[in-house]
Order: sequence, then structure tokens, then C-alpha cells
Amino acid sequence: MTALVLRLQLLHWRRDHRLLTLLCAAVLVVLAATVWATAGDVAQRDSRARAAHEAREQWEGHGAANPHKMAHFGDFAFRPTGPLARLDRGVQARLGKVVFIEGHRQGTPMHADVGRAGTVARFVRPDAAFMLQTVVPLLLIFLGAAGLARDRETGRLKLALVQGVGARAILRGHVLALWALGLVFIGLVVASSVVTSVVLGGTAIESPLRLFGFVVTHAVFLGCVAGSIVAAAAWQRSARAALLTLLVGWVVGTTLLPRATATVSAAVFPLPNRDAFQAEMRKSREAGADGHNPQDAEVAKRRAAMMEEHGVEDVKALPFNFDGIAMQVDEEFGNRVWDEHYGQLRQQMMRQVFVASVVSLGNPFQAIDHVSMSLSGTDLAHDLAFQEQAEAYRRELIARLNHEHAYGGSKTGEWSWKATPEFFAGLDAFEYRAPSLREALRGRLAELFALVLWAVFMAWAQRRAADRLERGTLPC
Amino acid sequence: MLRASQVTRRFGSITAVDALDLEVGPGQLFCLLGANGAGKTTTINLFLGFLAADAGTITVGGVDPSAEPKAARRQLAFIPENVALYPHLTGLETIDLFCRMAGVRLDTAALEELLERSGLGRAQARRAVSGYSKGMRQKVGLAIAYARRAAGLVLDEPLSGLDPAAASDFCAELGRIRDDGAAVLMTTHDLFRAKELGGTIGIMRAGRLVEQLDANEIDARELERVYLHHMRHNPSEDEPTGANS
Repeated sequence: MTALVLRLQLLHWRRDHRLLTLLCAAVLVVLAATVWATAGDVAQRDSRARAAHEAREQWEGHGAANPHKMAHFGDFAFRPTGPLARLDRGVQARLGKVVFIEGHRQGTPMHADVGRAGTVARFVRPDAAFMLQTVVPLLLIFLGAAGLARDRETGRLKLALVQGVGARAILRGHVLALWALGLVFIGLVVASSVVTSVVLGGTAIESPLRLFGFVVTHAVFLGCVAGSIVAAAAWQRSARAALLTLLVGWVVGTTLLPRATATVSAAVFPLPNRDAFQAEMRKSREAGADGHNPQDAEVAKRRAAMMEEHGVEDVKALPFNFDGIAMQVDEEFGNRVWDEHYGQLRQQMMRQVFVASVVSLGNPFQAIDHVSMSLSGTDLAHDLAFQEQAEAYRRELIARLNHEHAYGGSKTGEWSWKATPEFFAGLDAFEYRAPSLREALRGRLAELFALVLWAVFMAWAQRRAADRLERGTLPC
Repeated sequence: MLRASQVTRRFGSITAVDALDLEVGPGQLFCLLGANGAGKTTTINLFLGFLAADAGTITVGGVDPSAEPKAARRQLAFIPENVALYPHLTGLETIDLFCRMAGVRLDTAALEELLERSGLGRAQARRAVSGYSKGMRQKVGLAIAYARRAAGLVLDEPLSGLDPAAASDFCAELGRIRDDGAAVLMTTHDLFRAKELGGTIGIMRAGRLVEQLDANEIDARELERVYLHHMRHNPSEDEPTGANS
């Protein structure tokens, strides 16, 4: 009987010219957004690969050079787009994607896409995930509210019930019809993204497991949406009331609650702005070791200790170049300062993320948004992983440059000494390793639980509504 | 088949049905007359299991419809005042849909025969029901009832809005269904058709069945007089007129 109701709904959408036009328009919009976002992602990957290649060529093509000079010459760490960024750009567009790697200073990501985008692009995220999480639910709301609720208003529902059909089967049929439509959109999104990527020379599927997770979680989410629509239509007394309730829910879920969450969490756990953060860092940094200043107390203390250890009176008599050691002393102090300031910043950010996770327990729109970004590798956690890996790379690179400066064969004060090009070429380029799927989802357990919870709650609400419809305690 | 015994149903402080006693056996037709708000539709909904009685017992083929609505409905066919159909389906698809809902599988020829029997030609059966008149939709309702071969048929003001010819055809079909052995309970405002159909006529006022008449033993003028008598007097004065006695 459920299949009969499902077929009836699908037939209705196919034969109603207005609905068919609406559906076709929605399909075109979703396809256009997916193709656009995928093409943008492929282009960004290409441009990142080119930039990384050029940066490496510059690094290796520099020839023989003083290691500390190369520490200031610097290198770049380019953040790759997330494995499924073509489907969900997440917060990636709002965050910088290049970190300049140099001595003495931790770089912050630069060149965020929104910095170069127009006003509209700063607020709208017309990618596949936006379509599946916002536009498709709205479409389902219009179709769903005009389905069951209209059947009740016209008396068709009563006529169907009198034939002996169970109300549960009827509601299930309506849910399945809406869900099936949602699944068609997911299929369209995935297929069009894969085709676009292949046509433009990108990879077909970068991470099958993440893609599978994306499809499954969006399927569950759209199932929740379909269930909510039918439950609301069953509980409300008219199609208009059902539509109004659902639209209010949609606006609250997609816009008001996420913005309120961001505002509240930012107020409760404020973050310093970029300038304030860097000013604080500078202030703390100035209070400690400075490798370029021979009079610096910390450097002088280390110099005295080493001279005593090696039994020499003059620093130039040391069997290595103390300047490299001094730079590493400076570096280690800078690292401690960074760890302290960045650690506080990270803690605040994680608190904000926690607040958003808690709120998502009551809002499936936020839950799927968070899960989708994590699966796509475009959430804050992935960005922090990039920043932390870039910083780890910086520390490793500068430590090796300082080591070469100290022990490569020069003496203290020989700033004209140069390491060989082979040494610089032997230093690995930055390579980002995205957190594994398990790591990515570990921070999203609340959101995954929220989706399951909503699915269960909607199933329960439907059963209750069906039983009441059957017994007439809800009007039919 | 359809039995109500001392059935009362209240909505807040309003008593919609008050100590109703009513019985419709196989092959019998019972017409419920009454003004708007007299309790006719509430009575129909009680038999269909969409409402539960606050007091008294109501059964459909021995089944309590409020306790086992699906079991009771399986024994009933229902034609509302407006047979609302799915506008994108043809007449043939509609009858097929409702047959399947009722668990009845019929081939196209059998479905067409059902529609023809209820007065819809083959050409009409293949048109979308969105273009059907009310009379045609009521005929589809009848075809659904035929297909169900239900032991009971419940109709809620099916004649309102029908032109005289359509109403006459419809009543003729109802007579045939009754003659086939179904118990028919119909609410209507149409005294003339109620008389024409024969069987029992009940007059409801303020939730009470204030008069039961044998249509074969009362003429149309007398029926009108009795009806108006009950409509124009206070509920406290509602005593059977004894018109049949």
C-alpha cells in the first residue's frame, strides 16, 4: 500500500505541469551550482599545484646560499582544497589558503577567496551542499505541504482511509515520495560533479569513503526533512498552517539558529582579531630571545655555556657556527610563545565549535552542515590541521637550516658562507595530510547522533499522527 | 449491519449526537434527514470510526469502528458530499487506485464495466477527472462502492449540488445497490429523493433521532409537514408525530 501511495505522488508530480516546471527548474539550479562549484574546485587545485611547483622551483633554483638567508627567503605551504570541496566548500573560502614559511615568525594563512570575491559571494555558498541542505528541503516543503495536507482538506485522505488503507502506510508513502525526490537530487549532484571533474581533467572521485559518507548522511538528513514535512502536514489542520509551520522551521533552522549560535558563541568565547593577536604575539616575542642581537641575555647565556663546555675564550674558536645555535634559541623561544598564544586561540575556537555542536542536537540543518563540512574536509578542524602541519613543517625546516648554519662547516660570524644547492634541494617540500575520515568524524559524533535522533523522532511523530488520523482524533 | 444503540457524542458542551438508536440491516436503506448541525455527519463519522462515541455502542457488522477502524471500514463503502479525486488521474486510473487501496485487483475491462455501470462511458473514463462534473465524480464514487462489494454503504449528503437528472440516476443506482443486499445509510436534505428511495426515513434534530418513518407509508406532502414540524419547534417539544401510525 505504501508503494501505491508513493507511485501516486510521483505520478502527480510528473503530470502536474506547474510542479514539473518547478522540479525542472530546481534540477537546473542544482546542476548549475554543482558544475560551477566543481569547476571552481578543479581550477583551484590546478592553480595550487602550479603555485606549489613554482615555489619549489624558486626554492631549489636559488642555488648555493646562506641557510639563514634562505630562512628569510622562505617557502610556502599551500592548503589543498578538501577531498570533497567540490561538493561542500565549507568555511574554506573564508580562510586563507597559503602560509608563508620563514624564520622567526609563524605565518597566518593568507589569500582567502572571499577577500577577492564580491559581496554576494561573501554570504552565499552556492555549492552542492548548500543546494542539498537548503534549497532541496525548501522544494520538498512546498511539494509536501501541498500533498498530504491538501489530500486532507479535499477529503481524499478520508476516502483513502475508508478503503481500509492504514494511515501509517499513507504517511509512509508520502515520506518515501519526498525522500525519493531528495535522493534523486543527491544522485544528480554526485553524478554531475564526477562528470564535470573528469571533463575538466580532475579526478573522478578523490575519496570514495568520504563520498559514501556524504551520500549516506545527506540521505538521512533528507529523510528527516521528508519525515518532518509529512509529520507537520499530518498534525496541522490545514495545508496553509502546515506550510507556514514548515517555512518558519526552515528559516529558523537554516538562518536564524546558525547565526544566533555564531553570535552567542562569539560573545561567550570571544576571539581576538588578527591584528590584536599579532600585536600580543609581538609583545611576548620582544620579551624573549632575539637571535640577531648578540647582546640578548638568553643568547649570551647559551653562548657562555657553550664556550665553557668547549673550553674556549672566543666564540669564533668554537668548532661550529654559534650564529646557527643563536637562531635556534630564538626559534625555540618563538615556538613557545606561539604555542601559548595559538593554544589559547585554538581552545576558544574549539569552545565555539562545541557550542555549535550542542545546538545542532536540536537543529538538523546545522547538524548536516557540520557533518558535511567534516566529510568534505572543509571545516575548521581541517583548516586547523593544515595550520598546525604548516607550523610543524616550518619548525622542521628552520631547525634544519639552523643546524646546517651551525654545523655545515662555517664559523661564527661567517655570514657569507653558503650551503650547497643539493642541501636545499634535499629539504622536503610541505605536504599536507588531511585528517583521516575517522579523525574527521570523531568531532562530529553529536551531529551524527542528532541526525539519528531526528530520524527516530520523526518516525515516532508520524506513527502517532497516523494512529490519530485513523481514529479521527486528528481531522482527516 | 449498521447498528447504533443509545449513542451519544459530545464536542465540549455541545451534544452532537444524543442517545441515538438506529439500525440498518442488509437490503435496507435508511435516509437521515435534518437541518445543518443536526448530527447527521457526526453519525456517519461514528460509523466510519473517525469519531468515538462518548456513550452507547456502535457496530458495523458486529465490529466496533472506534476500536477496530480498519476492520469496520473494510465492510463499508463511503460516498461523501464531494467525491474528491486525484485530479491528474483518469477515471479509469482512479477506480483502479481505489480498488487497489481496498485490496481489489481488477483488469481494465472489469474497471471499465464498473464505470459504465455507474453511468460513465468509456470515453469519459479515459479523461482526467479534473474535468469531471460533480455528478460524474459521484458516479466514480458509486463505481468504487460497486468494486468494493461492501456489505454497507454510507453516504454523506451525496445529492447536494446534483442536477435533478443526475440525482435521479444516482438514486436509481442506490436502489440497485440496496437491492443487491447492501445496508445503505444516507444523509440528505432532499425530502423528495428520500421518499422516492423508499426504506426508512429518520429525522434528526439537535443530535436526537426524533422521528422514524416508513417511506412507503407516507406521502411526500405529509413527510414535508412532519419534517417542518420538527424543524420549527423547540427541542423540548420533539416527540414523534406518529405520522406512520
